Amino acid sequence: MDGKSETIIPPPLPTPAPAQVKAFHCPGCGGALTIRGMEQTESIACGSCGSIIDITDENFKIIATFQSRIKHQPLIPLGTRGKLRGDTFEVIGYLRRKINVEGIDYEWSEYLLFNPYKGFRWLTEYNGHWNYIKNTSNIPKTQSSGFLPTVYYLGQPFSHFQTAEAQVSYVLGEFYWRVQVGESSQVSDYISPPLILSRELTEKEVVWSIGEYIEPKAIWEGFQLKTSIPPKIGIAPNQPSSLATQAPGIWKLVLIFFLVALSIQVLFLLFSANKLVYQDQMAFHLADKEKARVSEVFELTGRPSNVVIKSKANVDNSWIYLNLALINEETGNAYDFGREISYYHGYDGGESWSEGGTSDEAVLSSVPPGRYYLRIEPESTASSINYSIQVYRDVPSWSFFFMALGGLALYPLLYWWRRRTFEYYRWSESDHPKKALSSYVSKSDDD
Amino acid sequence: MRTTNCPSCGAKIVFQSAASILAVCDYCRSTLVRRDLDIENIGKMAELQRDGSPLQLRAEGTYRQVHFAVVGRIQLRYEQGLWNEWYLLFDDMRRGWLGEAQGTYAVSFLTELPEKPPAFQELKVGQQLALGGKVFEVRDLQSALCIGGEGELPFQVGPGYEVPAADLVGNENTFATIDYSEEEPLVFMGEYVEFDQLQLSGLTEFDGW
Repeated sequence: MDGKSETIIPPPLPTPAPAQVKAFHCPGCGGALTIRGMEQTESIACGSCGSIIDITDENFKIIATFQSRIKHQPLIPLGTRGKLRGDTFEVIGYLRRKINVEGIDYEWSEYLLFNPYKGFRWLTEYNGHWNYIKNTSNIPKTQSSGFLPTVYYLGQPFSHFQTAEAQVSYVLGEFYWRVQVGESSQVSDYISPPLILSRELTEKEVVWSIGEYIEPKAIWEGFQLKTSIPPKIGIAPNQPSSLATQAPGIWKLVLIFFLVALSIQVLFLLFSANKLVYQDQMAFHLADKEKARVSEVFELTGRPSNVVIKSKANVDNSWIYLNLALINEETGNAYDFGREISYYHGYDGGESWSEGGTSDEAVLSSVPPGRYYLRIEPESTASSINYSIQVYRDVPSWSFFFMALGGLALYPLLYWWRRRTFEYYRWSESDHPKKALSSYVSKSDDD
Repeated sequence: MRTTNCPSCGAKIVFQSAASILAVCDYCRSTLVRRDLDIENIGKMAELQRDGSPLQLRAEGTYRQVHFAVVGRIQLRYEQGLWNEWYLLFDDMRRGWLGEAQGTYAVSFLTELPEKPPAFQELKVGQQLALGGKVFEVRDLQSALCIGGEGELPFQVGPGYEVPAADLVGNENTFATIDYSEEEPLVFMGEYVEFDQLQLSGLTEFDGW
């Protein structure tokens, strides 16, 4: 297309040759290698012989070779294309990195994903927990004050989780830099579940990346993997607590139950008759031959409901025991029960004390309507005691309401305790493990 | 818009922007510089390196509701790799730049500032710097090497041309670049954007993608 042209119509526009998946033979072992990252790939690691090849070099120069006892198999095979969060990406590289904490190696997998329009992303996997990560040009702001070092990314605070020296321990496939087994960087992780912000520091540069906890199911569906999903072990640094998302729902439920209980209680209060059906004064004399008393007959009306028997006695460092029976005059059905009223008090070693009281209340629930009378057989060692008895029909009761409230309070309490436990385990692997409950309490206000 | 014919091959050359002073012939890669009414051929432009960029001349997009066309490009080499600056002509006649490499996209505009930025030698990485009432942090100081250009450009470039530049990051997604390649430093201010935000069309098609 060079040279002088007389034509008015110019020659067709030279379009760049379509970028294609390039295939070539590994200069190390002769095995077939495929380049999927097009011109953006700089090096490729051969899975069969461990050669790392510079593919920007015409002769496919081997940069390095590495030995690995284990040939790791990526859970998502290289060349697999899939959809994540609406974008299509292809797995082009796989590497493993490790950190050493107190003599123990922790190793995880990283998958390099490529899309010619959108660039690179990473999927990382450790103990069945996955993160979807991309590099960010947006440099977070560091804030040194406070208990935990915090950085701000797009105005959102991230708490420091861990800083460690990470070393590449295994490579397979393509990378956009000249990858080396053994190359290391200082990695600092900051979390704000489900997000994780990482800073990678090498001698040459600082790279920040932002990741999001992703359910493996989304990956398996996105990449249409037929294999089984490896189970999750433990809690990942930025794993969202499923409990956290439940919080608003829980408070809503608690509020609804509270309102239901309250309205039921209000209805009870409104519709309770609370009627005094019988009352009398009686006296107990130790000397009496016949101490038992029988009340007049009284009418219990309405639906089957409770009956409250209130008794009072002028006990004073003494006791009285009332054997009571509420008897249906027509059917002879009897509710037998005993109540003790005792009151003791004194002055001992400079302190006054008292025990018991002079009144008592007994509740019989679900007593059908009818004509009833009370039989009272008092017992005591005192010579003489005056006592009174009152019988109420259909008395509003608060006990169910308070029981319901107690049950209701258990739920948020249990919820709080479970969240605390979750956070405890989350932070146990970090540079800032949670030691005491108190440290948690002061932190928990944040979430 | 001004059209002329390539003095070398006769192909039609279009200067879409009145501000463009350089155009590279699509067909024969002759570098044409506009001087008043004349066009001077200053020789062949070097081949650009294949970098897998999805952008190309004549691609179109939208930034902040304004449609633009890609009319030119400078390819630069940094320590970290290749970087393209695509010259944009907006429908409202503004001209801007779309920086691009490996899926990172950044839109910027030449910005006139009342103050003069500090000299390249005075800057330090990590330093805070106020420019046009905004605070930036100096992230990187290095000289990029121009590999070549294509399409039309607002200044004369050529292979081997060195561009000492300061990369600054600001709040949110904003950034600034101070270009020290000319006598007076030029300040470009802009923001990082996502691929989808630009609604690009007329891109390079990749097999199977």
